[in-house]
Amino acid sequence: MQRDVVGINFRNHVLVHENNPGKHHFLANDKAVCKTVLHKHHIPTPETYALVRGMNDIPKALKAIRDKEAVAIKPASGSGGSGILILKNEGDGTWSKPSGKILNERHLTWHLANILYGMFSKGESDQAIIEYCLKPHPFFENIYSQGVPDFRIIMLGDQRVMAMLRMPTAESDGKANLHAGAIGIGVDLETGELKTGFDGKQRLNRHPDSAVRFAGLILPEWEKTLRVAQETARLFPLAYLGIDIVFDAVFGPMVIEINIRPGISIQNVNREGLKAAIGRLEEEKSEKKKRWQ
Amino acid sequence: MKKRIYRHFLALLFLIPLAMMAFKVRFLNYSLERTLSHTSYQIRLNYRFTEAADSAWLRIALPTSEERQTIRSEANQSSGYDLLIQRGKTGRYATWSGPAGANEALAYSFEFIGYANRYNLDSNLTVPDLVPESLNDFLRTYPVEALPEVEDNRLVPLLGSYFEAARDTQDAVLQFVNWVRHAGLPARFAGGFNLEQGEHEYRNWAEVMINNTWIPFDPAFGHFAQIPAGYMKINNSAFPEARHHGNRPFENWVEVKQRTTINPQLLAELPVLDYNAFAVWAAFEQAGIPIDILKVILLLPLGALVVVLFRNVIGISTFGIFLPALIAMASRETGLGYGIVAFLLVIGVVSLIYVPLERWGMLSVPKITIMLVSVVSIFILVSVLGVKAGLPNLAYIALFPIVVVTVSAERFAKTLTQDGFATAFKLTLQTLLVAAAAFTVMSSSTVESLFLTFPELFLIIIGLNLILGRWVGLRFTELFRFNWIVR
Repeated sequence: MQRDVVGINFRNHVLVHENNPGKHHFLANDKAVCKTVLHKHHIPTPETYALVRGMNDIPKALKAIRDKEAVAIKPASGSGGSGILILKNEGDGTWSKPSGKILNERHLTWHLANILYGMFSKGESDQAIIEYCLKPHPFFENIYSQGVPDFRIIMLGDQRVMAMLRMPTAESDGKANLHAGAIGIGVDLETGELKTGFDGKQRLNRHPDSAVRFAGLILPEWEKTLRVAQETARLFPLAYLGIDIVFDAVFGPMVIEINIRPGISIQNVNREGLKAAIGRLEEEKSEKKKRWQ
Repeated sequence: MKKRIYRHFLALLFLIPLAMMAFKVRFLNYSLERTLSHTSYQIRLNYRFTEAADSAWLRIALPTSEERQTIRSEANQSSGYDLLIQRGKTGRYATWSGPAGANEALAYSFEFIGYANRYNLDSNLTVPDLVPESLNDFLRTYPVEALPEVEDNRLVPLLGSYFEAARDTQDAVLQFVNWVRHAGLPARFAGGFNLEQGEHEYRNWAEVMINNTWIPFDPAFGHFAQIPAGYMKINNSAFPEARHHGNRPFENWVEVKQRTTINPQLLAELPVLDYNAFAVWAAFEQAGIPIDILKVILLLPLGALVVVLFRNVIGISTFGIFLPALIAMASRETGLGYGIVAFLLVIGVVSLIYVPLERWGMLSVPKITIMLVSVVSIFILVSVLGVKAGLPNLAYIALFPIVVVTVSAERFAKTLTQDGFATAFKLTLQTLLVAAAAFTVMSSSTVESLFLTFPELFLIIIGLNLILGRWVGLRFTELFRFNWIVR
């Protein structure tokens, strides 16, 4: 196992430390910067309606979103989904949360101010991003109707190493967080086919709540997804990345986040160690080289 | 190029200390036993007359330096009285004389350092037929009905039988001395108290003359031909000889303060060098800074090493990286039990306060400030209540590094609200486990002495931390976590 599986020590000291220089970490950690780069190079990512840098940007931002159907408000430096507000426009300057609660523009101002003053970024002042609110692709609603699933692909340089789909469950309360109870489903890198799922205790071929069988289904727009991932990886001077992609009903695969320290549970989901997967990549590269000679 | 420099640096971190240690052991005669830090006791004998009179005198016995105990820094703490110190047959005596009002206090202070002694008695020794006349006093007996049964009447087994028999009697020491004298061996009383056990009342043990040496025996506490380091011998009489004029009532009490010091026997033998542990130690002593601070500085890297081991090698995560080592450090003052209690108390308080503050949407810094104030208040409250309830040790939790614990407790509360009670509880247990491990290592007196003797060891600790910090193997817990891959 030592040969094939990557533990936290190896990930931190070899994969992250040697591939992701510290001075470039902000390109991934600051979502505002990351989105700017992605927008500039036309990588599909939710449209940024407003970037709130200071209190005096708030009125302008609120005006800009008044005619939008739905928005997502996120802290630029937030982690783990804290501080994210999903809002549907109810008209007359009011918005509703998925829970049904109604908020007006004062509430939004208050939440934006909290983000600016660092409530979700450990006290450090931060920026707020207001962006297009993703609508999950029907492919996923057919498997399970709640929450937004999230596709994670690990890239080494511009080579794909491993990928998984994180499906929310009732247990995870609609969140695509493995630790909260979502299931991880391995994805075949060649075909985009869903393999078996893993919920931390056992392997599954069906969603535990809807009982829909997902093993064997193929992700929508797979070729485009791979291309998006590869172009994203090429854009950043960070060679070991976990790219998070969500499939929107209208726009297809969109990059929502890049991680410089992607988790290692993906190995359990795909039943393969990262070292083994990287080793295979090296082999394929040298095979190709041999063929050209 | 960077890697080579790193390797050389690492090698130096190991070689320099080893060289220094080898040098000390070979050329300066250092060894672990001889440089063990030693406990010394600051003692103050107090006496106070409770009624007035025209004049008064008081005579007390004072301990004397001998081979196994050092008495130094003696000082008369009373003024207005004449003090005369004389040697008598059974020991040294201090006599105060002068006018005495009521409630006038007399006191004498000194420092005591004792060593344990253990005698190997040859089992073939026999009880001598003749005893020199000078020792006649030590053969005076009072009548007994019967002597205890003795199977083997060679000296050592005989003493053994009397020793065991005496242990079952009411006045073990008295019986023992009497029987031994009956058998023809000179024996005398020794009196004082055992400071290690916190004794402050004068009591007796015995000494028997064997081969021209007075050998100690304490049948009351089971010490046969040996004496523990904490025994302070005051005199060789059955009485402490505190006598006062006219049988006027007086009170007496003893104040004892314990501290760690350098083994004076060793200090006398050491050549004076600029850079050895004792120069540092002596500098601290001179400045009046407690040795404990030096110990903290030397041992904290070791505590950090324990935490790194548990985190990076075994794979047990904790709240904060240094918190377990700091809990261990603080527990040296309070004891590990109270340390854990204090930590759990802080976590409890913080959790109670965090949840409503979080709901209110408070910002981080004011939130932590409120929690800090609450923790401080609770600590003070617990300390005061503890003292009132007769648990003064509880006050020690006030020595806890409050700010660090509060910050980490805030993290606990955050985990609590985000990941649920199970995760937060598990992390708490893991933190305390690692803290206990660090504490065990850091509080061992062998480790302490080792580091005080060879402070260069902490370079090795740094080297080990460096190596561990770059180790990329699978953590022990990961072997289980990724079992799914092969299943």
